[in-house]
Amino acid sequence: MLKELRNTGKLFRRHHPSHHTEDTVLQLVGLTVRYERVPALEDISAELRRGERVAVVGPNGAGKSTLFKVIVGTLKPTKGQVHVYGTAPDSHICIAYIPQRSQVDWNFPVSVFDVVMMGRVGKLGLFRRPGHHDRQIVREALDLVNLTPLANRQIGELSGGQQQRMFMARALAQESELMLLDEPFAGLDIKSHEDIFRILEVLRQRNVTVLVALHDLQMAAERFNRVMLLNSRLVGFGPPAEVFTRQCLVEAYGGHLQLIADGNGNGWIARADTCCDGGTAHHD
Amino acid sequence: MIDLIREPLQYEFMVRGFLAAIIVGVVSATLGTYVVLRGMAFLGNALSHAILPGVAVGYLIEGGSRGLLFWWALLAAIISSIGIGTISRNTRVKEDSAIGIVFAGMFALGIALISTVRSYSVDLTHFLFGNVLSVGSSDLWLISIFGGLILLTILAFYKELLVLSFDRVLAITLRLPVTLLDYLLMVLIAVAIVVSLQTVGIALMAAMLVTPAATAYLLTRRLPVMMAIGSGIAVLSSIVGFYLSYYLGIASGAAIVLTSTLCFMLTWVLQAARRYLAIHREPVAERPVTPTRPATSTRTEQSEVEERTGVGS
Repeated sequence: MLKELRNTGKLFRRHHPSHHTEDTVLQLVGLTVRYERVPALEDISAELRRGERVAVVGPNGAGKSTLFKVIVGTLKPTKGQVHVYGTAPDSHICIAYIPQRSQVDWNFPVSVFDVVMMGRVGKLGLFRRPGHHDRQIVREALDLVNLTPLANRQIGELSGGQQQRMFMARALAQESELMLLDEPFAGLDIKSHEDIFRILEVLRQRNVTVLVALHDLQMAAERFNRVMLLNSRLVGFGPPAEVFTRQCLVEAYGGHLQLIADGNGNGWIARADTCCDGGTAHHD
Repeated sequence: MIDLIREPLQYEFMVRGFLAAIIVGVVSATLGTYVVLRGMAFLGNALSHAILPGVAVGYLIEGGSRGLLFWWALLAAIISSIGIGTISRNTRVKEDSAIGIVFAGMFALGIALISTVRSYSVDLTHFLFGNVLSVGSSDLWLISIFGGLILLTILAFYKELLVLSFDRVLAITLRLPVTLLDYLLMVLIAVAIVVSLQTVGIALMAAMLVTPAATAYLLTRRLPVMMAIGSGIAVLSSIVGFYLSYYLGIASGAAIVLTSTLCFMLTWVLQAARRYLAIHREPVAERPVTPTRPATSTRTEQSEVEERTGVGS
């Protein structure tokens, strides 16, 4: 709380750490988190480059959500450090976290426009009202995710895919450079998946680094630069072909993974028997 | 009819009570919007009970006069709110337990203090259930000033409180002073309770924070509109309650709260009736409750709607 008091001054001056043009956006150094002695993350070290798209996969309880909380700065690691552009995450306002849809109060009395405008609050600082510039940014963000016609809807009136896109628009309005998406595809149909990938493509062009928690291994393998395979420890981190080996997958999933021999003799098909928090069917 | 309305307002102390009731209505309904949206009703109820020892100390020191009562009550409310926040943050005890501990302890202390006075029951009744007739001109000033300060603070921190109430993680990633804002909201509630002490009283204050705002929540899906409608309902309840109290001789707090409860019930029943009619008048497939959707790819829209109602509810 004292730290907050000291930081409150910053809100007036709107001072936030500068972003060097260096390539490393996120650096995890020996990151360990324990809840009451039970390890959730063990000694995770990794670096993320600017503009890349990384899938975080692993069984339930592998620490995906914990990892996101630590990166965002809402949870302090037991050991190790997170560096965002070389400094601690809790001074950055460029990190956007997109929650799972099941964790949002969809009856809250706000419109789609209001929610996207919330992304501007960090840049505005205390006692400033959103101006023309902010409204322009919000409108552009809404346009980019194709939600302009629904801007004045109450958020509960949106479909699942639209809700997900609204939060991506909010992250865009926040002008975030590191975006964390927690199970964005859970419970959505194929068309909505493609809508989200279209937005992710725009983010790639804008050099936004994106981290996506997933449970669909095939999607991770096909649509992401690199995958991070977690099971409390970092089992593998690299291009999908290098990480999704029989050995790594068995190590991460253990008995919950079925390896089925491929008919062509090219290898095998992995079938992860896990699922997201939303409680919907898996897509493998 | 006009005379019935005008009669109580002939007396200056009645006019003061009337104005106090209106100010309290607007302030508590506006603040109550956050109380309802963040699920802090129990906290509001607890804080209002927890100011009793402050009231008691003021009462005992002043020997029945009400001069400093306001400030003692404010002190007790702020101590309680900080106490609740500190206990729930720094121990394993969950917040609702922390609230329960502090509120019961403080309330017991208040009753213990007041019971040392021989004829305490009459005064205690006034503190617990309010007495608009006791609003003096200095009280009215305090009520206006602090009520105004609460509204100004809500206006000044509107967007921060909105973000914090809707999405706490976003508030943290935007590096807003989350803990400070939590305490600010609690202190605002504490001040609102003290402001309402004379009109509604300790025991029923939580209803002023919750009922009008909750009624507005049924009627609108926009936050500023919810604040406005809530205030309107609260003012209406205050005025109606005021007259009921005058003509029927019931405690003002009870009269005001009963009126607002009636407003809530009416709204609820009318809405249920309207939904029932809407469903049974038109074919079910039309989904008349949902406003029209844009005609883009109706096939997937339809499946998304079904998926939403399946998962969301």
